Amino acid sequence: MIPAKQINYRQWHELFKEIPDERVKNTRYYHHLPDAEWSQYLFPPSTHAVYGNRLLRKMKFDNSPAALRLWGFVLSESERIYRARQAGMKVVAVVGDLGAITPLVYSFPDTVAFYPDCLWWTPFLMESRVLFNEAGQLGMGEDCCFVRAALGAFSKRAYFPKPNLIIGTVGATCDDMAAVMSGTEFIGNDVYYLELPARDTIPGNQQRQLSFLADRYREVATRLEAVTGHSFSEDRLHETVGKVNLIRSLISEVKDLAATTGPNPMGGMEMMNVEFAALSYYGDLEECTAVLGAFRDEMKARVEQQNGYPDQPLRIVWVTPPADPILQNYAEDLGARIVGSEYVINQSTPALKTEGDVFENLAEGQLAGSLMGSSRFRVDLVVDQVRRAKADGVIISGIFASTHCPYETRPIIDAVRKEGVPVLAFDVVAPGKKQLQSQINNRMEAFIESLRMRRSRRAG
Amino acid sequence: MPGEMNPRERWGLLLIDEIPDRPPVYPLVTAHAAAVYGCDLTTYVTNGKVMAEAQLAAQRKYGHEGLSVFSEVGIIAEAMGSRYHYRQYDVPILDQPIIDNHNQIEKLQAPDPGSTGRLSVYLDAIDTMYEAAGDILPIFAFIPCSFTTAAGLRGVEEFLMDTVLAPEAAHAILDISLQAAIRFCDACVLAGALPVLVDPLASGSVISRRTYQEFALPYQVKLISYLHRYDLDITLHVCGDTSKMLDLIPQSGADLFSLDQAELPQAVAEMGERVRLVGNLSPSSLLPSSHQVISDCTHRILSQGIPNPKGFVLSTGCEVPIKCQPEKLQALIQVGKQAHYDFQW
Ligand code: SF4
Repeated sequence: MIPAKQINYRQWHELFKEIPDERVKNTRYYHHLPDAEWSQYLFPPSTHAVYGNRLLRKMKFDNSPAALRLWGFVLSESERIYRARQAGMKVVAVVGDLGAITPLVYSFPDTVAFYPDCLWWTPFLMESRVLFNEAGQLGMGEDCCFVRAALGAFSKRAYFPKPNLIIGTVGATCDDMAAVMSGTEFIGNDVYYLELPARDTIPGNQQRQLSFLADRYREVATRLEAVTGHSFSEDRLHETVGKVNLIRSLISEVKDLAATTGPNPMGGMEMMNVEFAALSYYGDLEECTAVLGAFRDEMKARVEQQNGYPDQPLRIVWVTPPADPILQNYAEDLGARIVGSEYVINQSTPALKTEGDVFENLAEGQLAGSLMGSSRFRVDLVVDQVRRAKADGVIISGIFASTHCPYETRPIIDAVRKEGVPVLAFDVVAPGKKQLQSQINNRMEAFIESLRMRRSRRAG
Repeated sequence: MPGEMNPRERWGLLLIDEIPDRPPVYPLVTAHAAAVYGCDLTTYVTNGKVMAEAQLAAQRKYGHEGLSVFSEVGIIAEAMGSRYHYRQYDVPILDQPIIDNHNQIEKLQAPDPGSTGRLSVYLDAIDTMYEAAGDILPIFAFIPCSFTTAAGLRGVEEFLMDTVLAPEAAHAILDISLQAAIRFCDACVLAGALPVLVDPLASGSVISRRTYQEFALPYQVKLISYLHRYDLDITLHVCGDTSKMLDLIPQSGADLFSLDQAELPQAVAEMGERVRLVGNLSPSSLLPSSHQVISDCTHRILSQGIPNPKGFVLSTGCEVPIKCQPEKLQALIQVGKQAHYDFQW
């Protein structure tokens, strides 16, 4: 087995030459369509850097073909969605619900979903202010979460095809996302709104909520029938939920493997790519399963053989997804590894129920989301991870000016400190602000150094 | 203005078979950038930072939609040992080819782009441009194909004679030229540029269709398929008259063909289903023609290019002349930017 290593984009460009031609040719998405060259996606980061993803030149990547395949799959999502439309498939944009509705969308034939919200990392990946400036011109400036990049993308019409349907989830979700939705509507897009109730813990109220939300999902199904021209089928939804559950179980398994007590088997960014696959399966449910399956196999083999990155002893739980992918690389360079995460999408990983009313099962999944309901729920999730992963420290990468996440930062800090675990919290710096970025780097250096000293003190 | 695409976005859509708001406007502004920037040509072709600054200055002035990294087609041949003569007011020309007898061929090596000849000028230029504007502007590195480099290694006439009298030797030179091109392409890609393959010596103005098929095309195919393995969209630029070989161009595998002296409607008919076309206002017409004539020609080219099924880029047929008057180029760009597809999002 090849020793696990993190390598840069130059090294991957060279290493890529060793990957057999057949493998490159046969690593494709949309297998149900005739073989087309455009559907290949096993390419090194240098390919994506040439097309403007500038940060890739600074990042480090795992050196396994399984990780390369994962990166290729993630970075080709935008083109894939365009190709879906070119092939006559229906494209549904889902905003704000973070993974709850996609099984329903995928249960319709020839229909795929994507999350415009996920474009929030594009400005970081491209080291560019283009999408933020665009959103700014539409009235959404630095007083909104980075998710405003999605509004910029809707306005530019160059990052995804015009969706056949936009489903916007509002109510007990995030205000910033709701603002993006109304901005999207304001510039001429029809948004189909879906109201989410806040999670209620009073026992009698729970069933009422479940029924309310299940009814909303029934309405969505009717809307999808109109858009796709296919009638809703409970059998197909059952089948899709089965596939989605397989993806969810792969993600859970991979997360457990990352928390191994042996050497770190995988990079934090690869892990984050895996976790976010739970939202829309990056636009191809079948291929996503294959990508995650191969990735899980690689990690399993590594854990069994104690094959991991050397010099990353410090165990970190990462809270709130870092919009800037370089941050986790930086922590890893300093000797940390990510053994747990709370990326506000935890509700998209537990298996969905397969018995009973299909819509209520979807609703139950959604109501388990950390985005809705009390902050306590999310705080407990973090504390649970810290305990299970035996974390040395917690890093919270917040979002300046966002309305939702920052309010949970304080209670998380308090709860984690009560556990005797140090916490570093900072706001991620938008692209183009180099001096502020260097301050964050300094703070990370100091934090990780203090964790190292704490460890050696404890060791004796 | 909100809703307006930038060049990177426009090109991005074109390359995945989507329709942007309008065709990218990308005249081949190469050494002309030195005139805009106010530096001499020797400095421009020997200092990557200056080349980048000049390109960026020209782009700011004209607003065309791509940066071009190009000095002259001998760049690889020079790094392999041929001598070029530098001129203050024009690009370098071949002075002394490295091969004067066939025994020298086996000594040739593919040069290290980081340390040989002026190859690093390209890399410095790309790096600077990429840092400065790589999120908004695509960067194109013009890289000579094997046939053109071989002619620079052997001397044009001698190499053409070899293709007739010593074809094995010709192929040996072409092989090593191909290795050199691959290595250089790799370095340019890693620096952040998309290769544009140039093969002016493989033009119908210089060689026959048969010579093209036997000595140029196979090496274009190999180079392009190497780059396709990395999923890169490759433009092939052949100057001069290509009208008699248009049907052969798609065989090279090129994703885009930048044509010079061939009729655009003919190119659309021959390859429009498979290849995006880039062209083709005659650069020489930029010198004497009036504003009106340039504007009329550009309108005509747009009306011929826009229907191309695989997509179209408005450009010049070859490099914008160094001494082109800015207003002339501006006329072309202005008309180009008013074009539009009937694009409904
Ligand atoms: S504030 Fe938090 S939950 Fe809301 S969009 Fe931003 S990251 Fe997501």
